[in-house]
Amino acid sequence: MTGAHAAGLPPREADSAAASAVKALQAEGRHAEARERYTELVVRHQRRAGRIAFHYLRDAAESDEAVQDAFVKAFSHLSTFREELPFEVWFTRILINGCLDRIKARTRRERWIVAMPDAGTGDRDFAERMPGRGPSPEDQVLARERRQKLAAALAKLPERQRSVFMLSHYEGCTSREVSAVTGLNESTVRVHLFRAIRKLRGLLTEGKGGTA
Amino acid sequence: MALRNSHLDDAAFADVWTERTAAGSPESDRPAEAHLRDCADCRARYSTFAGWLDTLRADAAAEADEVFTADRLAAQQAQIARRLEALGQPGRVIAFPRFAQPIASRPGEGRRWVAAAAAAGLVVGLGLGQMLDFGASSRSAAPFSAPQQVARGAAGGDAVRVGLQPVSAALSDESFLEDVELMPSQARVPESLQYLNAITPSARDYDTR
Repeated sequence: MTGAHAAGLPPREADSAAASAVKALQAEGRHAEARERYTELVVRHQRRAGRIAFHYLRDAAESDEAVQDAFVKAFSHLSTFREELPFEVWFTRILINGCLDRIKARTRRERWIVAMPDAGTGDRDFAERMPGRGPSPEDQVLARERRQKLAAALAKLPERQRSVFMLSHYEGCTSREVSAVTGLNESTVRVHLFRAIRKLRGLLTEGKGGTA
Repeated sequence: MALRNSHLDDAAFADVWTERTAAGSPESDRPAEAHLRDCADCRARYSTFAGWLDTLRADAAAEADEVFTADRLAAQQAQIARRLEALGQPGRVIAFPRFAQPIASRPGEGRRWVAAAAAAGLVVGLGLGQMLDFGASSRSAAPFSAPQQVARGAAGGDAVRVGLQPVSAALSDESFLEDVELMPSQARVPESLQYLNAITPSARDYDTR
């Protein structure tokens, strides 16, 4: 069923069509059908939402919860969704706000909890320790180190710069879309993006003694 | 467009990279794109810049995809579906654990009766105890008060009230023994026991003095 609705439409238009259909079904009280139709949107945006949440939260379980919360919240507030805005942008805003709330809550919690000595080793999930079929163990270690450095560098960015950078470079959003998600001007988005890149380059090339 | 000594700077590169990535098209009609087409130096610098950003992006995507495996995504989807279903249903009230005997509905009735009976029993017991004690003390007032109230004078043998005297003085060994001798004769013996009392030997019969 889900594929039939999206067939022949570009992703954005398919999203808008699905969101409008779910909204109409909810208004008519056909909740079971609305849920079924909403699954189409969940499937299409789930992976991307997981990436965004993980880049913010750096924790698999918490990212999972944040994604679930965002989808549930979007479904229950779909009546406030305006069709002129892409569903992706509207949903991403919900997700990012949820992630930021979680980061705030975590910061408050961590004020009172002493961190474990091995908290920063990066072994967050069993899946990460499973032997892969692709790159060699050495490559994996190097890649992991690189990711950790990148994550550490991203964590040092101010919140707005980080959001703009992640949406632009990880999720491939245009400046206009980032502007819609973050509520910043397009020109401000560009400034934040450039500053984020410059700072990241500085942080990531600190140890190497040269530029990328 | 930002130019640095007639070349593109990093801000311009960032713009170009973002636009290209988002639009999915390699080039556009922006001035920076036109400059890149004409300037080999900027193209080389942009290539390095874009390569670095592409690496970052690929790393980030790979890291997130490692965490969110297909199984995990399927489980997440199922969980979202469950939560959406639960949205339409009213909140479930979890019943408080019940006790074997309900104590909340009639909590104090039985206990109140027990407490009242205990209090009544106590009052009645105290009253009876007082009455019995009073009766016993009035019956035995004469024999047991004798040693305290009566003391024989050393010369005449008359009973003299001595009032409050020191115990050591009033109750010497000799007077005590005399009191013991007198006690059976003064004690009230019921008539039914008079006969038995008469045939029973008393302490006086064994007095050696």
